[in-house]
Amino acid sequence: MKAAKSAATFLIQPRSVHVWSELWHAFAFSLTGTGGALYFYLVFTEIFQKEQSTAVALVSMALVSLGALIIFTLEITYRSVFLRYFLTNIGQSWISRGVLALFIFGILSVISLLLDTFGVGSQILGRALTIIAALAALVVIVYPSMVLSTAAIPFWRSSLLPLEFLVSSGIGGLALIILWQVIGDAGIPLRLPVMALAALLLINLILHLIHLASIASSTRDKTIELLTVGELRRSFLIGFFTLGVGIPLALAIVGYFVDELGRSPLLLIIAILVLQGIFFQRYSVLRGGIKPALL
Amino acid sequence: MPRYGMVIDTNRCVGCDACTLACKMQNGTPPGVLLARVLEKEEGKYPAVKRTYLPVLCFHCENPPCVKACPSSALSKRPDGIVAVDKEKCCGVKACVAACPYDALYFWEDQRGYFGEDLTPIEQYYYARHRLGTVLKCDFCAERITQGMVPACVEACPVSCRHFGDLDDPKGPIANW
Repeated sequence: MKAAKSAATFLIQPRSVHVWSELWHAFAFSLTGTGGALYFYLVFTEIFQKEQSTAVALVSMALVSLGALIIFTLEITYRSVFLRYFLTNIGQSWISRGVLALFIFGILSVISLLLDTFGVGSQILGRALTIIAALAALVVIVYPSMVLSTAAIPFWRSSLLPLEFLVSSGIGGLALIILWQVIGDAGIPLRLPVMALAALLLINLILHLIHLASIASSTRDKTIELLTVGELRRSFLIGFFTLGVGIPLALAIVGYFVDELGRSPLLLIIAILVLQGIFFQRYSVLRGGIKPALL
Repeated sequence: MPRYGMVIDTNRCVGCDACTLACKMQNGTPPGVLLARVLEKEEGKYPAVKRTYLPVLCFHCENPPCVKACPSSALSKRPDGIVAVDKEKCCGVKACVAACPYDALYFWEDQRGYFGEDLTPIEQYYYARHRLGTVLKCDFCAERITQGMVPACVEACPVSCRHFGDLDDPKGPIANW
């Protein structure tokens, strides 16, 4: 196996990219994406009641922080060097921009939480800080896909990838809202979130189909083969496509039309399936990167 | 200020890998790190079989994607055209490795040498020049250039398929290309 791999590095052919630990990156991006989306919903929708906002903010901050910490500890060799220099290429590097957004999100969300908790400062100031933090959360959701889209890999180099990350994170945020209600009985009316979830799942499905069809021809066949019949078929077709999108979409439509019958368990299943689907989507994207042959 | 470049006549390359070895000896790179390598492809069916050789190294792009990807500005395009990595600023994020279309950057993560954990004296000497956990890449043998020499791969090539010089020099070795 090792000899075959060594020989393959000297051939002019498309080759898979294994730069990072895909498993941990997928997990981390799922955490930051869903956490960021949850904070965005908290700030820009009326879905949560005021007394829940602190807990929701803390959960979203914890998710984003955990995701960031995973990448920071596992994938950066010289962390102090990174912290010293990461702002030097803010004009070009999406990693720099993403990390800056992480810091802005973290700091401002903590400050606004403290201001709110201790009743210090004006409401306008508190609101302004949460809005800026929520906009930073948007960047946190999208920046991993922007980093991937600057790589020399046709599957990643698509303007649809950031949209997919954005939509799937939105789906994850909604799944967390559903979980919050089902587990905590927080008085959140779920009709609208379930409708929105179904709509976003459908959009996510369409985006991925268009994305697969629009990959540059040099690697399209190999990428699709890898995802559908190759080693990623379980994570992509089953984990993401079927369990992460297809079944939750069908259940969400059923749940919308069925009033109270089996609502809680049904929605719990939807939320769990969707969340695992987000992980497998990111995992499949990271593992599915193929660089084209040089000739 | 010269603007260095290299021209490779792929029609002359015979796939001997002398450049690969010369680069390895010059830079003392660890196992698995091949800053200059030769790719090959076999085409056609017997008896009309053809083998294509493609020498690959860092192409020191005009608009380097690795420089854009690097968050700590460890990679930069020098005024003389060489894309170089500052190992003191490299934090091992590897965004450059993914960004490079030519797989010209290598992340050095295994400190073992060619004969295992115990490094040979020459490996100890050479590996001390690099930094574990950072990215390695071709820099056109910058040390040799400052001494008026050409990169090791250019000198080693037995069929003279590599030509190195100042892109802006009309009388230079690569002016005719």
